[in-house]
Amino acid sequence: MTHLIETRELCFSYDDEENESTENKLEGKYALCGVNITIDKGEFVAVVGRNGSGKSTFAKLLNLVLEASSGEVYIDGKKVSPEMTDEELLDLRRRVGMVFQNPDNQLVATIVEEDVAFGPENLGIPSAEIRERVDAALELVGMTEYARHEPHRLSGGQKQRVAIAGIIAMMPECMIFDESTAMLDPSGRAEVVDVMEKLVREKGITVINITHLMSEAARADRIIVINEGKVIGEGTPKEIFTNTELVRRAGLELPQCAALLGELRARGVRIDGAGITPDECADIIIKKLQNREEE
Amino acid sequence: MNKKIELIDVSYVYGERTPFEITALKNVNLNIEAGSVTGIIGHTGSGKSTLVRLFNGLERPASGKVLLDGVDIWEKPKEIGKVRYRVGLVMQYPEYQLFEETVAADIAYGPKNMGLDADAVEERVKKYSALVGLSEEDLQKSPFELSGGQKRRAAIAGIMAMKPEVLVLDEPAAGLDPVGRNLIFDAIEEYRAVEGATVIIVSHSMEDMAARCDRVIVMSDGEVVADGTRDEVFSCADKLVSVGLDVPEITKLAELLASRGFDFGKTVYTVSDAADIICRALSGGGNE
Repeated sequence: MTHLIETRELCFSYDDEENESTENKLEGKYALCGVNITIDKGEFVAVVGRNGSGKSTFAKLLNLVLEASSGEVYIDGKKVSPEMTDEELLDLRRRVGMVFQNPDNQLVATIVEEDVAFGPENLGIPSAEIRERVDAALELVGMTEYARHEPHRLSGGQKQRVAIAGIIAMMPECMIFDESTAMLDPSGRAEVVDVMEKLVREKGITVINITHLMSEAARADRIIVINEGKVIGEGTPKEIFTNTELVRRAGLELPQCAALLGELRARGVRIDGAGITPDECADIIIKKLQNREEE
Repeated sequence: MNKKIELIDVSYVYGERTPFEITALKNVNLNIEAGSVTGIIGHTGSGKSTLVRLFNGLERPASGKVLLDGVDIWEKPKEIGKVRYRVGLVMQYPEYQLFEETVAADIAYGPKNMGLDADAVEERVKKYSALVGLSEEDLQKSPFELSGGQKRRAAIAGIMAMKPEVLVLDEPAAGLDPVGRNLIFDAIEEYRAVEGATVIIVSHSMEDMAARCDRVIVMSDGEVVADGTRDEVFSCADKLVSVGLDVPEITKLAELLASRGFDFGKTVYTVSDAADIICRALSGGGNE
């Protein structure tokens, strides 16, 4: 069976870059090394790691924003390489869309709906269909009532949702969110993660969320942990969150409730099962306290 | 309360007398206690950033007064520059503002402009770069060779090197991972302890604010909607949620447990606090 995304022994070093921007240069070091990952259609995957772990580099290799130093990337069985024709590259970028960190750097038009139409227009889609796509995309991200607004007057979360709509209008199969909530306030963050979930569950779009927020990673089906350019762990949120040692080694922090269960375990309290949300943890703790009374 | 900064009926309007007029702050009254760590929280566009720009005279209120040690900072508008040395403002993503050839030169920029002599400048560069955890080696590098977290700390050291009595930081830890975040907050705490400074932090992270602040001010739509000790503010979860904010997750868990009969007996913010209380209950200490 073909995976939607597959990487084989993927390596990347910023030193290979012809443009020697010192900003990205990690001297002689690989930003990413020997990464083997498969992601299937319709999966919701979180890629987590500390700043500089290589997680964003990984994302940028998937649609050739960066070119691998060695190793391969396959999208739907087709190899991603700089030898691709312009047409193939355009198709790749349409299929694998990206939303970046700064909401102010991604919007190009002066009216929300024109911004969303920018992608499909460039793909040469007939205008009647563009209209349909724009309306559908804005509805999906809950921004229909802002269609005629000016993007710069929106909140950060709203701007990110417009950026997402712009990609949805190109009908991608996969969307990569590269720290897309880092600059947002708590409600803006929740808005964007809710949209990610909707894309996966309702539209069957594969979502890859690159983040260092474990509370956000908890919403994914699967978490991939990257540290110093290597994959050091992989599993469901519950599997990853009960592995306190792995999380610590990755330089990350568990959401407080999961951390509390870990702390109780470390102090010798036997905790059965795993909990991530306050509700799940409350269940576990109440059960523990009741058992004590019965004993 | 020993008031370091006091705002009396302050209002601020953007684009006054134009069709784009927006009132960013409405009749704000607040006090910042000397030597405290005060957190300011609020949704995007609530007026937090406008507020911090008033503290050091970067913006002038449309009406009302800003007092520093009891003196109106706009009493002599020509001397407003001096206020900016006394109230140091670290803006959002300050690392974008590094511009010198070396990290050392960047940190030296502020104290140099204050007119300090070369020796004094050098001493301050050394002291505050060490305080934020940068090595002597880092000082000779170009700012662009540092990691994101290091750049941020270099920018903060540049403000600290002016030895402000009040250190104001707008989202100092945004976008950093837990390790980078803790390095920043530890440096801020050390600055406060060493210099006896007053610290004001704007942040979206309720967990960080609950762990680091003594007092918390909540802004919404240009108004102060809550102002009190950390316990007072975070015990009003409903109110925080209604203005687009939240309480720390562990505080939420504590409330859930309380509704199901297990009372922590106080507001908890930290994992170790919660673990202590639960362990005590489990080992038979019980809870009433």
